[in-house]
Parts: sequence; structure tokens; C-alpha cells
Amino acid sequence: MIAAALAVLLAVAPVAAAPPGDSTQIAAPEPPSGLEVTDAPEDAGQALDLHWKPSPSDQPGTSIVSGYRIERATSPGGPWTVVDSLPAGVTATQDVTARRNLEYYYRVIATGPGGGTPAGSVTGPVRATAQWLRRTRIAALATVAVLIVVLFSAVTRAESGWRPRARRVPALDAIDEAVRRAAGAGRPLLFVPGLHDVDDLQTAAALDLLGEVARRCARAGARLHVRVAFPVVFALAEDVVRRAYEGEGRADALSPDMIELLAPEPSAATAAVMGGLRRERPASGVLAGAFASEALLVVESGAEAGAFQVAGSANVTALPFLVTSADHTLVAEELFGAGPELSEDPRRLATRRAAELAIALVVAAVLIGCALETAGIHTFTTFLARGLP
Amino acid sequence: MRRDGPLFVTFVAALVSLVAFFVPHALVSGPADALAGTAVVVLACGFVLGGIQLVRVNLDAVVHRREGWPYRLVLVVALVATVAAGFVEGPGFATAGTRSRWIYDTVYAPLAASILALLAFFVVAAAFRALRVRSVATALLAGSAVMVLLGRVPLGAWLTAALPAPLRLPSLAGWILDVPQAAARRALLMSAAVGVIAAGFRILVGIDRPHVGNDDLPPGSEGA
Repeated sequence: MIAAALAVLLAVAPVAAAPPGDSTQIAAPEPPSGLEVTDAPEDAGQALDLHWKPSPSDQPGTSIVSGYRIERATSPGGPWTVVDSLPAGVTATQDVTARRNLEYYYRVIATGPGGGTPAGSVTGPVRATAQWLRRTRIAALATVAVLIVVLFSAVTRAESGWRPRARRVPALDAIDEAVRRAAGAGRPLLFVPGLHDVDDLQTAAALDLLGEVARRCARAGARLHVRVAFPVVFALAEDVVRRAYEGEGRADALSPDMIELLAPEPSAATAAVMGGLRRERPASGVLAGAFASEALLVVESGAEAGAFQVAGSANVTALPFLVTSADHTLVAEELFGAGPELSEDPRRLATRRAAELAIALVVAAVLIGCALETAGIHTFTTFLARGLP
Repeated sequence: MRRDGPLFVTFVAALVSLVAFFVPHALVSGPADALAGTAVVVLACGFVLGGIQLVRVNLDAVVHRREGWPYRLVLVVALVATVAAGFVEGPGFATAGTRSRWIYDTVYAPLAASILALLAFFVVAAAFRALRVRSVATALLAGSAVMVLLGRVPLGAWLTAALPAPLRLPSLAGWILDVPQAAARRALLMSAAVGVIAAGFRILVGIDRPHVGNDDLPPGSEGA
């Protein structure tokens, strides 16, 4: 008898727990609240930041909220336009379609299988405004300003007659050695100005160095082979080499296949350089510019081919490979200073000396920062890292 | 005089881009965005010119049977076939199921992956070269490398399990990576940043002019 009563109770229990009416009907989620809309900081007035509190129905595991819909209007009564749809659990977004200085009203709606909740309240008016200064970059601005002042005064001094001395950098002396070896062996000197496009400043520095290398090759009668990965770099390299040879009165030594365009894909360009190294077996190589990990394939192939190699890059990922496999390496700032150092032009040399002074200033800033941090004073490092609050 | 135009354009473009990094206002960011868009167009034109040059140089080498001409023939045929497939497919050439995508998936991607797979073998050769002890510096490099390599695998922990925790290989490897390695890495980055600013300054004020030539600045000249 008791067992029968329990069986009846168990059978009835789910029905009693179900909401009244149709058992398949799902309730609409409760509305989200607390929508706050603020102007996005440090932008050109094209975005607004939105934050809200989630719907009480938006609970992990048992949520009946499938997402949130953000709607926008230019008056509190609408008409409303959907500007974003986000999944459940998300409580912030940025409206990047806002127009500058236009007033907007926003509402957020929780949606689910049971439908969308009527929006609780409307937030507004808000407007996206443009700022004049990125306060988080104020430390970078100050650093750049100081460096420009240092560079400018060095150039001005050089124009007034100062003759800065060229500094002996072993890797730069090795470039003359590379040219000599190519001329002596009657085999080419391979120059690769990195495998990135001209928008990387390392490529511009490498092209600057190419001019000096080409000038030396023209003088020594060494065959120069230049291999580039991108079309614009090709056009610039062609121009740089032509000017260098014409400047040395060796326009007759220019040939159409002196500079070759490979492929604007790192792996394809790497394969082409590797193949060239094995087939042409250059006497020496100057591999300077922007490389990634493919630098190892290039420089190690050169080493296997027996080429005397000078490599250079400012990419931290490539430098260990270059240092390991090349005979000499231009490290970081040395790559950018290579062209000026070889040119012996006073103004360009002056900027190199100024860059060295700038590095000393950076080292001083690091030491000051370490000392202040050790003393428990964080103002200086916070300013450098995050700018003004 | 013919260089004044390009130098002026370079100066204005570089200055606007530099200022836009610090000033987000539309009066500055608008022109900077427009300049960036123009650069994309210029680069796209470069690809057309580059393709023409590629065909010209390599066909010339094939016609004159220069050294390595069969490779150049393969290059020209592959280039023409890929471009032709792209034209046949039209605007959606890169989507799945197209001939262009087939060429990419079955020819280019495996070849590219094979090239990058060679890295493993080259790393061994380079490591062998680096670990040969020739001086105090290379001895330090070799010692650090061995500690990091062993410290990142279970064998290192097992070998030094009896030592105090700070002296075990995983701790030492972590210290090498977090302290001296990170410090050296940051030093290189700061040095490179200074180099970038100096190189940018030279281009901004027209001291370096790789795009129009430096030939009016002969070695040892008076400069300005």
C-alpha cells in the first residue's frame, strides 16, 4: 500500500513542479539592467563603450538567455536599429559604428528561446567625441620628443662643421672583407635585404646598406646578386644599385638578373634563397633586414655553401640564429646605423652618434626605474608603462 | 629640384603618420588613414609591376638557356597557371572548391610546410655549431642551453630531484628564461626602437632618401 502511494507521488511530482499551462512553453528571460554607455577613450570619436549587468536568468549551466541584442536610436522613442548581437555571459561591447558628435540612445535586450525581454530602460543621450591626445602614449611622446631633439642637435652640429668619427664595428669591417672575397674568388656576393616588405623600417635600413655594398662591389669588380621578396622592395633595390654603379662609373657592369624578385611569401622566398645559395655558391653573403625564424634556413644554407656571411636584424626571434650561423652579425640598432656608418657622411654619422647617446639615456632611465622600484616608488615606471591616468 | 617633390611628400606623409600615433582626433587620423589606404594601392600596383618583371627576367633566362633555366621555366609556368586560374574563377577565387584554392591547398601549402619542416634539421646543425665550446662566452651559452633543454623535460627534474628546490634544473631553467634571457631580449628591443626612431628621423628630414637616391651626398660631403 505504501509502495503504491510512493509510486503515485513520484509519477505526479514532475507535473506538479512544471509551470502551469503548456509544459513545453519556455519563459522569456528577465531583462538585463544598468546599461552604461560612455565615450570610448583616445579615439577619433567613432566609438562608444557599453557595459550592463546581466539578466538574472543568465546563470552558468541553467541559463535561458541565448544572447543580448544592442539597439540604438537617435531619439528615446526609436525607431531602434540593431547594432550588435552578443552571446550569453557577455556584458560589454563597443559600438564602432557611431558617428562623431551625434546623440544616441541605447537599450539592451536579453533574448532566449522564449523570446526577447522588453527592454528595461533606455540610456542616453550619449555622443562619441574625438580626443586630441592619447594620454596612455604620453611617455612614448616624451621619449620620441627627447630623441628628436638629440638627433636634431647632432645634425645641426654636423652642419656647423662637426666631423663625427666613424666607429669601428667588426660586422661593418667584415662587409669590406665580404666584397674582397667575392672579387677575389670571382663568385658573387649575395645580398638579401630581409624577407619583409618596405613598410618594415628594417627593409629601408637594409636598402641603405645595399647602396654602400653595391658601391663597394662596383669599385672592386665583384659580382652582386640581390634577392628580394616584395615588388616595391625590388623597384627600390634596382634603383639603389643602379645609382651606386652609375656613381662609381660602372654602369656597364649592371645586368638585368642582378636583382631578382622571389616571392612575397616567407617560405617560398626562403626556398628560392636556399636554392640560389646551393646553385650559385656565392663567395659571401650579406643578409640584413627583417627576418623571422626562416633566417636560420637562409643563413645555415649559406654556411653550408661555404659563404662568408654578414647578417643583421632587429628581430629578436631571428638574432640567435644569425649570431650562431653567420660569421658576423649586426645586432638591432647596428643594422639601422650600418648605412650611415659606411657612408661617412657627417650628417648621417651624427645621427648614429646621437642614437648611441639616446641608448645611454635609455639605460639611465632603466637604472633610475630599477632604483625607484627598489625604493618602493612606482610613479616613474607607471608613467612609462601607462602614461597619464 | 626633381627630388623636392618626393621629399616633400615623404616629409608630410611621415609627419602625419607620426602625429596620428599620438593624436587620435579625426583631423589627424583621417588624413593618416587616407595615406595608409593610398599606400595599399601603391603596394598593389607594385605587385603588378613585380609580376611583369618576374616573367621578363625568367623568360629571358629560359630563352638564353642560362644556368638553372629549367627551374625558371617551372616558375613561369606555375605563375601563369596560377594567375590564369584566378582570372577564370573571378572574384571568389580563394574560396573552397575553386581551382585557385586547389592549387594553393595541394601544391603551395605542402611545399611551404616542407620548407618550414626543414627548420628542425637546421636547428640541430645550428645548435651543434653554437654548442662547440670555443671561449668563455660560448661555454656560458652551451651551459645555459644544456640547463634550459634539460630543465624543460622530466629527465631534468628526475636528475636533480635530490637537490634543494632552487637548485633543481626546472627552477634554474625558469630563472635563465625569466631573468637574463628576458633582460637581454628587452635590451635588444630598446636598442632596435632607438634605431627605428633614428632611421625614421633621417627619412623624415630627408637625410636618408633611399627612394630618390643619396647620390648628392658623397662620402665626406658638407652635407646640407
